[in-house]
Amino acid sequence: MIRKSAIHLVNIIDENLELDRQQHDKVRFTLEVILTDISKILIILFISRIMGISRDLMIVLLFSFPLRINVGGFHMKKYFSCLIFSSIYLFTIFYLNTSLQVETPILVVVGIICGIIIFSIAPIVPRERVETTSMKIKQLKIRATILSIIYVTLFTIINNPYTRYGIWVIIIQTALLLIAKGVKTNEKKIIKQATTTTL
Amino acid sequence: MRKKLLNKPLQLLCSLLLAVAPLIISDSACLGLWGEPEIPNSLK
Repeated sequence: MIRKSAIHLVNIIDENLELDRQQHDKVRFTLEVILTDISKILIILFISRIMGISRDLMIVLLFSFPLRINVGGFHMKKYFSCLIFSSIYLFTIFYLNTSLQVETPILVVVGIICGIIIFSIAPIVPRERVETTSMKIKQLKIRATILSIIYVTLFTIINNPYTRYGIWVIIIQTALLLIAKGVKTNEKKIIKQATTTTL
Repeated sequence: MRKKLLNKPLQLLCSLLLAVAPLIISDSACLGLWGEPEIPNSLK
């Protein structure tokens, strides 16, 4: 449905501006990205509003978005699977923060360890994306590490439930990153084995 | 007349969308949530 709406919008633009094939594809892709992410955020925020936790989820999103963009990881192919996974991720962070009473020093130490893991394995760029240069990878890695340092520092300076979300975001993103890394390594191994047996 | 009125804002929007497209692809590891639309070949 989102794709159809994006195509419809591009056609409206096309009628007035007469775009070439490449421009057409670029505009459609950007519109699709904006429409899919905004619609998912609105759905999640609507559900959280009913539950009375919309402010908390907005803060989790604020911490999560910049880190996710830089660390990468796996993603779902379908709209609804992505919506469900993203909702589970966001609500899990909310419940971990509100129901688990972890002491501040422990959270800081775990946050630092996760930051180190992010520095060593991030970013994980999905296969469907363009070939990423080592320069870009370095940039993403540095950005992700700086963000982790900011979240941990923010939590140590202003220790409240809202800054605590930053640490939980680092922890969960690291766990997901480790899973993605494991899957990627395994896939590489399988491909290597397959090529050696065919040779 | 209507077409002329629409042209300017559409041009602006279109330029913005065209400028953002390569940034989404090359300047980030992925999108903010756990899904991603199919990347067109012209952007790969």
